[in-house]
Amino acid sequence: MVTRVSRALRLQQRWYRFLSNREGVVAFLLLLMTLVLGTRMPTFLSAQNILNVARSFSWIAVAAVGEGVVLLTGGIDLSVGSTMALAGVVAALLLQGGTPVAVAVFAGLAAGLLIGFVNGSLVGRMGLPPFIVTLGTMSVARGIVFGLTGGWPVRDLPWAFRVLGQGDLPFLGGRVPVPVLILAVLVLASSLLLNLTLLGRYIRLLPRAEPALHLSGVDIGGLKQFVYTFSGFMAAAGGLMMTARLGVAAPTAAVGYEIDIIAAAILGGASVAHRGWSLWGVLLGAGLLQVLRNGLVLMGVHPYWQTGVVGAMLLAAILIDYLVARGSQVGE
Amino acid sequence: MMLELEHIRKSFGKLPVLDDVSFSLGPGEVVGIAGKNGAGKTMLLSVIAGLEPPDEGHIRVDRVPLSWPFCARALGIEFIPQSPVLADDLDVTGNIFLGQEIGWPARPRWLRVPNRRRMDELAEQALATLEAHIPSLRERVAYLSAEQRQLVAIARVLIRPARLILVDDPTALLSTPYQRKLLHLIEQWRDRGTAVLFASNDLDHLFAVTDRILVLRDGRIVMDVSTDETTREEVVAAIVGMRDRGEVTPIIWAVDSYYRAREEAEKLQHQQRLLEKNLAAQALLREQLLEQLSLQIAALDKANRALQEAQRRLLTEREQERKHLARELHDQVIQDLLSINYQLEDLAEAREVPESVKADLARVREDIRGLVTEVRRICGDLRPPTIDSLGLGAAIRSYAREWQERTGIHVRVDIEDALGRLPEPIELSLFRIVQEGLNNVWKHAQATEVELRVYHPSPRMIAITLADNGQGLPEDFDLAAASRAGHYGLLGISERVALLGGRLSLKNRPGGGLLLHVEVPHPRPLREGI
Amino acid sequence: MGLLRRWWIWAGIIGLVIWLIGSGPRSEPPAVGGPRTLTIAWIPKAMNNPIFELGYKGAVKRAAELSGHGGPDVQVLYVAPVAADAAEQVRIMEDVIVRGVDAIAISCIDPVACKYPIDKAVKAGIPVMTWDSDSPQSLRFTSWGIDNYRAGQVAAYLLVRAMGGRGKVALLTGVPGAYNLEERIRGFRSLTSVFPDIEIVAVAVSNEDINLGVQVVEETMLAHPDLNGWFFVGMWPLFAERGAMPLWESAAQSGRLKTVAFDTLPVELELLRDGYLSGLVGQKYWGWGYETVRIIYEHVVLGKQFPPFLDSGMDVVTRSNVDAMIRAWKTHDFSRPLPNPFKPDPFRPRSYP
Repeated sequence: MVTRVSRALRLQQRWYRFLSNREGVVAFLLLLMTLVLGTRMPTFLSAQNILNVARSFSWIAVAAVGEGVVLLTGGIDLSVGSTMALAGVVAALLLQGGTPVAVAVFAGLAAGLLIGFVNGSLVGRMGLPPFIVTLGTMSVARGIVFGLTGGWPVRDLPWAFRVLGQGDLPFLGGRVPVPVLILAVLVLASSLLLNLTLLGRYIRLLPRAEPALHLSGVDIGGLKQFVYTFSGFMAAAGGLMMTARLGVAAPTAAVGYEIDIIAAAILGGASVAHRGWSLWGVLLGAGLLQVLRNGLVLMGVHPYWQTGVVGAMLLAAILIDYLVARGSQVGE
Repeated sequence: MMLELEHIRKSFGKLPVLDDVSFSLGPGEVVGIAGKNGAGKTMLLSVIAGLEPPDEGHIRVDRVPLSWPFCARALGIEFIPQSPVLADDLDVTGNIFLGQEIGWPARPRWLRVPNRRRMDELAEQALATLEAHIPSLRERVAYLSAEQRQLVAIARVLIRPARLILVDDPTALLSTPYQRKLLHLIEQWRDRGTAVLFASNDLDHLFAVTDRILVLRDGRIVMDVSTDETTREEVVAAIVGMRDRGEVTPIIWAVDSYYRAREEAEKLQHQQRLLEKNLAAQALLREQLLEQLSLQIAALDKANRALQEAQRRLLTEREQERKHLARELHDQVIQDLLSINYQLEDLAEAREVPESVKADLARVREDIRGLVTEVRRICGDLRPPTIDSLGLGAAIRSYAREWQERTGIHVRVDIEDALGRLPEPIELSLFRIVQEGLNNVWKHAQATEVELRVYHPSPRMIAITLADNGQGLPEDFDLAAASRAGHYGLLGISERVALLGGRLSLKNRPGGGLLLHVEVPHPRPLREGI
Repeated sequence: MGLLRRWWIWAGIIGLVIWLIGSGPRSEPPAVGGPRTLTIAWIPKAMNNPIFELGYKGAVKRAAELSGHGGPDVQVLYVAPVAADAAEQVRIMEDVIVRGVDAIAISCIDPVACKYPIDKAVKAGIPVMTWDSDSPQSLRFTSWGIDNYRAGQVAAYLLVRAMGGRGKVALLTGVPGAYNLEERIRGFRSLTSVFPDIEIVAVAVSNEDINLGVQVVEETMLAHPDLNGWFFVGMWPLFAERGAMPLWESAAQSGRLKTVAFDTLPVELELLRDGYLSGLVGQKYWGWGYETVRIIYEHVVLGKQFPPFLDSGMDVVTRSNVDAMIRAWKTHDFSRPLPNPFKPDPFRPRSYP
């Protein structure tokens, strides 16, 4: 009797340990899904489809990396979708006015930085609740977008800009979409920043050791300010990539994307409850969502069911976090 | 003045936590803060550490006013909190250097990549200074014991020179050797010119290292006094809030039971510490103990203040009288006797004196010399001749030698080398205690051997133990009864101890004989030979 | 201190929001007291859709035409929620009733949510009509709009003819369950079901989002490489610049794939002209304003009665008449009727080489 109980306990422990390695779980699911879809749908593994998925996943992933850092610190940034649209519209309007591409891209990023900085200042310096603040800036940014465009999409963008979203570069005998390269560069830079520098160290400590940081003279308000500004920057980068891909900056672009982005980040394990967080987890989470959606369309699953599947996935991730947290408590 | 606080006020709703707190602090000054739990000690330190903004008032560091929240570390202020505030996910080195990481580039600081190896070396040094035993610098602090975590928190202060260190009673989580170590560190900081604010509930600690003691009660400073000019009783009174300080001075036999109670309390407290290092439970216990003590003190002291005062005056006057008498005898009677002796000698030299008279004269002169010796001994009893010039140690040694010759009881004397010079009334009283103690042994104990020890059990506390191998105290002994029977020896000792604010204990030794133990507080001694 | 600072921030935020809301809707103040002024509140679903602007221009044009002929001056009050939010629209209706206008023309976001404020207005003596999107249960005196079921049938007719009567078809819809879109699809299916060689193989969902529309079109193209026809129930993916949907574009240009889409915006007209699209079915955006103002004028001033439903008809654009439509957009003048879309037969040259 005792041995059976203890064996069951040990099994449970092993199961929790597996579940708590979020990158592992998500990578496993991704692999599983790729295998199933690949065998059932030959088109899934075609170069065209893989390029498509990689391309459309890249801007969600970029924004999710920024969002992940915010979630990690116990905050939330609802303004990412609007910021994506704002960055695209600002850049597109400047490009229409004949501004050089580099300047327009810089201005788009600056718009994202500004939204993020406002979020960060209100949350970090004034101590306002992030949900309300970013809800506000979400509307403000969207309002600015409508105001700037008068509701009309901005079109006719030069190829030099569109190449950022539509272009491919030869790479190891194949082709790699430019947005995927941009994603790689941004993720690498973020990873260096978050894993090597004091800034990253403090951010990772923030959710669970705020008093110690405070006592050590670390400027916590400044940290939060940075985190939201970073999220704004990444969202702007994602928005520019998306705008370049579509070749049009629509004022209604990226409406509701904050849900997808937050979902990707949470699937990747970016939450206060989950301890082992990494950028790779967020990338895998974004990838999983995209492949799932792509697979459902390819398999011809009725559209009504697609949203539900994504939602169920998200709930499962949160449930796993909860179970692992409780399980490790039981184990200790 | 390095740090100045002016009219600091802070309250939670209507409840005042700090109420008009003002004081200042110079470099190298060690100021103790005493007070019950909830008196505002921690809040005061948090305000100075820049963590909590007060509702009113200013703080100035080097005359520059500060506004909250400020970064205390940038001003050279370090803070050791009551229980360690650490980042559980970081290892030991990471915690010691949190906020102070060494690395490249120096600026901007946020982009700095920490240099682990260099930090490990320095962390190792800091922990070695503390003699802390920590399994590995790579260990996550979440897995360390409470004491180890507290040591890590203390080590954080050691890696960088500070100008002011705020110590918020971290000793609750530390065992005795590390408590000593911390006190020693505080003394080192003082010698280096670092100011220290030391909040503690442990009077021994406060009296050991501080120059000044502030007592907080209900958020107010009710006492700000130099440590040398106060006593534990005054401080306890201020902590618990007796209305009239005079009432508190304890009286003889009542005091004896008070000290017994306190000793028991401290023992309990110590055991409590060892048993569980739970801060909250301990705080509650302390609270209750202090509450009980205050009730006892109030009940005990009310009655006998006048008697106490009279006693003190009497003793002081008696000592004065004796000094006067000794000088009189020495300067007047002995000189007269000697001059009579010389006159008799002159007389005996004269030719016309017959031989028989000469023999008588010689006998008379013999008697006179005996008389002089006797008077000198009385003088010595009245006023030990060596105590003014050579100090307490020498006086006791010489008296013990003389007493051994006189009584034939063997005395083993063990006096700590560096006793230092204490104020005259204390030295004199201690001498009298030894004197009366030895006489008590001679009169009642029927002992053949006595062991006498004088030493410092803790800084600013001197102790005398007198152990004999005689018959010890009867089982139903009590001081009050002894005094009614006219035996004043032990009573005199207890009087003197009480007046010095010390404590007395009498115990029968397991192998037979009496152990008399006296502990008396004193101001920081002047070091001999410095 | 802290409280005060916080208070100011909140005040600032509220002030900003009020400013944004206040500066949003462009509204001319109603002419005060003039008995010879007819003020019409013209309420679209949202500010953020540019095609409503076109309707507004039509309304203003008709108002100008009707004014100054001895009858009352006609004023148009343009108010709308910033985004399509039914509750917000109800609130705006109530504001307008309180403000006092002479008539209301509204495109209902939600037919049920709309009923209560419409009835309230009618009881307050303000006649109400709906356009584009109806609220049939309410007391509005008439409704002017497209018959979505028929429009879907027309789109099906265009696509079937372009495909030559056989092949596989995919549909792209917006938000699943939206009434007008479902009606169009129902009409589309009712006609295609008549042709045994036409097979509907997929229904894709764009959530009315350009980016998602582009993705699902491309993915459907991958899943069904032998696709012959697309029916875009809305124009969403066509907003993207050329180059965004390489599979669709190459198939459309090769002539293998025919596409029929809803709406007649300039972007789509250009694609139609360039041979990517085979036909467009669009609402009469201009008429939303131009015709409703006329109907209200006739109802209120001349006392004319109207049947409960008025069919606005639809704009059908093919290669045969696309240039006329492009011209109308450039001049913003839609008062002239379009040329016949089927003369000369737009499908002949490509279908039967």
